[in-house]
Amino acid sequence: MFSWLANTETTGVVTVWIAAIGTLAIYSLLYKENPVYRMAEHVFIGSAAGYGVFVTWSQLLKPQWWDRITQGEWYWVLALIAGSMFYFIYSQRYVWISRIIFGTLLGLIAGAAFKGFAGINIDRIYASFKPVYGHELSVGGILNNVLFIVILLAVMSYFFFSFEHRSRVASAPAKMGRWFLMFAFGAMFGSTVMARMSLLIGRVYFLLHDWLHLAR
Amino acid sequence: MGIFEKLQHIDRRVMYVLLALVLAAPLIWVWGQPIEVSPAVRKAYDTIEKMPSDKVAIIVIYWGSGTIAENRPQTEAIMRHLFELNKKFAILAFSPEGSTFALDSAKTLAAQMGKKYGTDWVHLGYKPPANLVPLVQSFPRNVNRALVADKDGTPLSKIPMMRGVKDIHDIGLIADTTSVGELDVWIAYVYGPYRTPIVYAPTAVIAPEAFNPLDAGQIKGLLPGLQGAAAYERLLGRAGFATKAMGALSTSHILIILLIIAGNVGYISSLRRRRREGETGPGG
Repeated sequence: MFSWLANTETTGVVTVWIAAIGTLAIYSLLYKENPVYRMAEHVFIGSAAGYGVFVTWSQLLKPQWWDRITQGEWYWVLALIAGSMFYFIYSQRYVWISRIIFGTLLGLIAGAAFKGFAGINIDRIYASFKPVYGHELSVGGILNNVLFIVILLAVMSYFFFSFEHRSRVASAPAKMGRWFLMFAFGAMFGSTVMARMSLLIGRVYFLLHDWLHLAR
Repeated sequence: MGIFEKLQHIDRRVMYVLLALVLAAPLIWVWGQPIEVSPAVRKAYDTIEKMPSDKVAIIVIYWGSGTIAENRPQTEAIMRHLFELNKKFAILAFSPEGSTFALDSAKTLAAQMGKKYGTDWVHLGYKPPANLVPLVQSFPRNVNRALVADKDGTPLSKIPMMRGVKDIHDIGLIADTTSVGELDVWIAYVYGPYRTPIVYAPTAVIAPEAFNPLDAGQIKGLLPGLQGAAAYERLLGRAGFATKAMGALSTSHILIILLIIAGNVGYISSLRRRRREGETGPGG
């Protein structure tokens, strides 16, 4: 019954057709909400979740946990006990068991985050001290660094909340900072549009190239 | 309804059809597009060129089917470059889908370029995202203990290219391809303490955030989205999907700019007309 699955050419064609129909079904939402879209959405979520379980077992749990237990490293069973403790969150009576493992995990994460803070920020703070003369800087380089420092200070002053920005000395840089932030958000939004278009191009290319054989 | 009001109320479905047309045309008739290589992409290329051949690069895969159009061309460009230079790489995936996509890409490229699994490249399997921080903290000290085995369960000690890889000093590069933006984890626990070079290949949505670490030298190169992949393909001298997509990316951007202009012209014009009507209308 399933012998055709052994033929890679046939399965390739079937796979492309399923993917193309799935893509069109998902995009049918652009016209309006409809049952075909709903079904495709559910199929996608279900298959992605199922696939995640399969990969987790085949690439992680089996080689790195189950095989070790079966080869004599019995103490890996303890990982199952620790992992199972999370599920006591669903029991009113034994919820305290889940708190032990959650607390341990939160403590570890907080410690790691504290350690990571220095690793992330010290280099960035250091890099923000830019030279405005010497260092064999060109005129363009000097202007670039001055602009960087002006923007940095203006944006920082916008986020200075210790007193009200009543005087011009305090309010003018803060207003400038707000404008600079707007430019930054605009650039980020432009980048977001580019990203979304890229994803759409990927799907359109698939439909035109792999399915309809129209694109080169 | 006047023309200006109409500009403000274009049916979204009309816009979708227009978008589909402007995307499809350049893909069917492949319009040549000049591709600019930014200094950030050039730095990424140079960093990979400079990686010592006796060390192994780790290609981090933290993306899935949702961003395959951006992240796969980036990943394949980096893999191709490493293969061309006869440098070894290990795939480390934090997404189940991405794990399979990266495996497919590496297998295809390896077959094309005559590279062998276990000798030139290896897939270290899928690791759950929850394990990211502990794993990134622990593997620099002891690679074998933290990463254990490849995707099939073969111990790293039995994989030829991984035999000499003991700790972070045997790793020459981290190439982070991602749609998630977990860069800070790699900076905090790998670049910060060990100064291992990081090349970052994120989706364009999160790329702007990477210019700070790039400026600070925490990453040694950046491939922002599909455009970054196209620029990298240009440096490699081989046009792939990213290069083909650049024409469609440009036409889609032109359409969006025109639609924004049309909407604003309509808005400003109708605002002026309402003001005029207010001045001359009843009681005005």
